[in-house]
Amino acid sequence: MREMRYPYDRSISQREPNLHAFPSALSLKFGPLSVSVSSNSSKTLDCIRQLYADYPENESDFFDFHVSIDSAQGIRRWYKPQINFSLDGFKPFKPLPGDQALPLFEWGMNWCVSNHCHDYLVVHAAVVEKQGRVLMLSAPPGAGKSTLCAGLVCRGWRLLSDELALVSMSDDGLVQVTPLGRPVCLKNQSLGVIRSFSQDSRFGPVCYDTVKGDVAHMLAPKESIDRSQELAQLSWVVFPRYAPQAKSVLSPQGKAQSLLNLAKQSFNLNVLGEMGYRLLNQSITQSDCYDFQYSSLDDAVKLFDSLLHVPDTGKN
Amino acid sequence: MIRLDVALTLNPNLILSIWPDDDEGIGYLKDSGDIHLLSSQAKRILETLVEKPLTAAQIYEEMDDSIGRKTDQTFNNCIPHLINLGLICQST
Repeated sequence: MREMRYPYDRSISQREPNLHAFPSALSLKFGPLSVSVSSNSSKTLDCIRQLYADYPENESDFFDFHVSIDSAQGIRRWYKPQINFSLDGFKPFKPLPGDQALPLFEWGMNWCVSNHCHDYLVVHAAVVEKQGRVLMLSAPPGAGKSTLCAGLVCRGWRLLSDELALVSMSDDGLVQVTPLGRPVCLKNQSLGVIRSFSQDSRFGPVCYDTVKGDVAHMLAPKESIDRSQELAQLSWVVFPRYAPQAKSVLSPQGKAQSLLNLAKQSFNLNVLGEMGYRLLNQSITQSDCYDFQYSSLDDAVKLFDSLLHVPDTGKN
Repeated sequence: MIRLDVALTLNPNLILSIWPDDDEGIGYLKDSGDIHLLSSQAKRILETLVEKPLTAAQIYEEMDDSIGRKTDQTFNNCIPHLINLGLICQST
């Protein structure tokens, strides 16, 4: 991560020659993506800098995304301050309250990836890896996917993705996942659950009363960030569901139903067409597929650790 | 409407995904992007048609006794449904 001067748009600088309007920008690199983040608020940049402190800087002048997180001007600077996310000047969302810059940045980056990274099949899933075997956790929002992902990461699984899995085909015809390794977004009770589950977990600031409730981001472990160029082939596709008081149960799920479930969680299958379908098909074919119900993170981690002792048969 | 004397073929845009340990299957249509979950009967019919075009009556004969009792229903419902979905076509 490095600081750099914001590359001024000439027309803007001519209109408003205020050199303090964009004090600085951040250069971030996570996985295959490089992002330039600018803001007119040094506080916002500080928050993002804290969350991405361990990430490498982008060594190239090229960025995949130029995004801005800017505080609204005019009366909104004082009365109910607001903040905007924009990509190349385009604002895909309505403004949020000024103290929600960090969640807005993370959600904005999710939007950037899911709408623009069509070199990959982008699936709404958390992905972790251990001993070279990759576990994809795919579920609709609120199913407990991120909590389970955070729990596994706290117990030594490598974080590839918390929210968006980048799926592609390797040269040997098997499906692989490209790490993004961004911070894990946790909400409401999950924050306390993970804090008590792992005293070593590190968090960014908590943002209260967002549209998703209270939100904070668990920092990705340094090892996961350092290994963000290591792709890994998929071994399991699991559809988790948190159910209070329920026993941890891992039930095999049919391949056809699994493919359909995974298709529902993919963002750009319609864009990729046949290639996207072949990626989905191969993902399911080479993986063991399960439904997973859980309430205890300890039990869940033990169960997935035990899967590592089962020989990998799906890639034959 | 289904014609009994006309050979049925798979839609050339169909990708049929089946797995040995799963009763169900998936049919993907390349042109529309539609994904269809196939029942075991639908899967059997499509697997039969992978080999060669057959009339509905010939498909009936190809079905083995394991689903024999359900064959009438298969015949009446499943094949027209597969035609309506665009997974199989009637040759003209």
